[in-house]
Amino acid sequence: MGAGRQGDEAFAAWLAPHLGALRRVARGFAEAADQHDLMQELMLAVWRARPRFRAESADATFVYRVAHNTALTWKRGENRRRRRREAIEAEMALRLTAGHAPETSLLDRLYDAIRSLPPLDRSLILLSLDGQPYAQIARLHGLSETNVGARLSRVRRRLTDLVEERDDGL
Amino acid sequence: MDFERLEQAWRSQANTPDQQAQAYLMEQLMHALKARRRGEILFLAIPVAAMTLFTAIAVRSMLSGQTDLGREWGALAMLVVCWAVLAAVMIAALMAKRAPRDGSPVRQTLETMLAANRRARVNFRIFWMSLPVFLVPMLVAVFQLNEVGKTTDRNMGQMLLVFGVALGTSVGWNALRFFKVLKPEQRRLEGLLKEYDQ
Repeated sequence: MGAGRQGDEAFAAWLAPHLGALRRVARGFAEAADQHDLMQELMLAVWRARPRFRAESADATFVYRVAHNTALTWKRGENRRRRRREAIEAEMALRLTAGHAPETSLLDRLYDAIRSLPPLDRSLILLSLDGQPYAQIARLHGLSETNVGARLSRVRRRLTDLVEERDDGL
Repeated sequence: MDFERLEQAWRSQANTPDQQAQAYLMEQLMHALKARRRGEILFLAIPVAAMTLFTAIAVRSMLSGQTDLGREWGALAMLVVCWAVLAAVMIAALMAKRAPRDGSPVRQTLETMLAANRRARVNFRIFWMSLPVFLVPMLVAVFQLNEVGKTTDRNMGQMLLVFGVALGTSVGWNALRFFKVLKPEQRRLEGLLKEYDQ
């Protein structure tokens, strides 16, 4: 058990720099009530996959690959009532610390718009917003760079429209 | 509004968990890992402990001469089938854990998952067809115990009721899993793969 705990702590330290990326994926794929659930799924998926990590790819690339794989195939939990309570508590904890940045409201609308996109477009735009180059996104998804570029141009236009629509609705 | 404004918001501090939020997420992670480890131990320990107990009782009964294998081989066959199923379930769980799906592109992963889903649905049908594999040793064992005088007719009825309920629950559980998990998953994966071709 001691070795297991040490292993968990080492894993947690390795994952710490990528928690932000995982959180953004969770917000991009799940509604507020389910984000806590998906975030846990993402962290566990990376933990399960870690033994297969080979140093030939960057840590971030590996984490993105596992996270997007998991998020795309993630299914909302069944024990909804308990999870909802936990999710609200978790969201509150993160909100309090997210603070009063003027960007918060715009980000809420942006995430809301991202969640309304088809799953593949959602994944592409999340990777692009996180600064992943086209070549990397193409490799991660098994698409050509041209295809990624064309899709992202369309998704960016759509996303801007969706955020504006939500702005008008306020 | 232009897209650059959205990118700017994306890169802002508001979109990155601060130290307090990171600490909270870390706590959640450690909690999830602990729960997962406990779950894995229980998944392995409970059925193995139960089967070991039944096997120990059977071995003790055979060694003390209380069991005549020539006339009561049905119970032994039932035990062997149960151990075989348990081993198959454990191996399948280990193989699923080792599946090297994280190094391949997402599209390939989805195709692999769809193939696994197809295999699981086929396995479900095999399970239906292989019900006699469970039923025959069970009925033979119950009737043999009655024949050698170890159970009364009433005991035999009760045993059949208990085993029948257990088997019925298993069939019901599998049917539920087929229609509530495997079929929706198949539709979801096919939908996702279709997106790649659009």
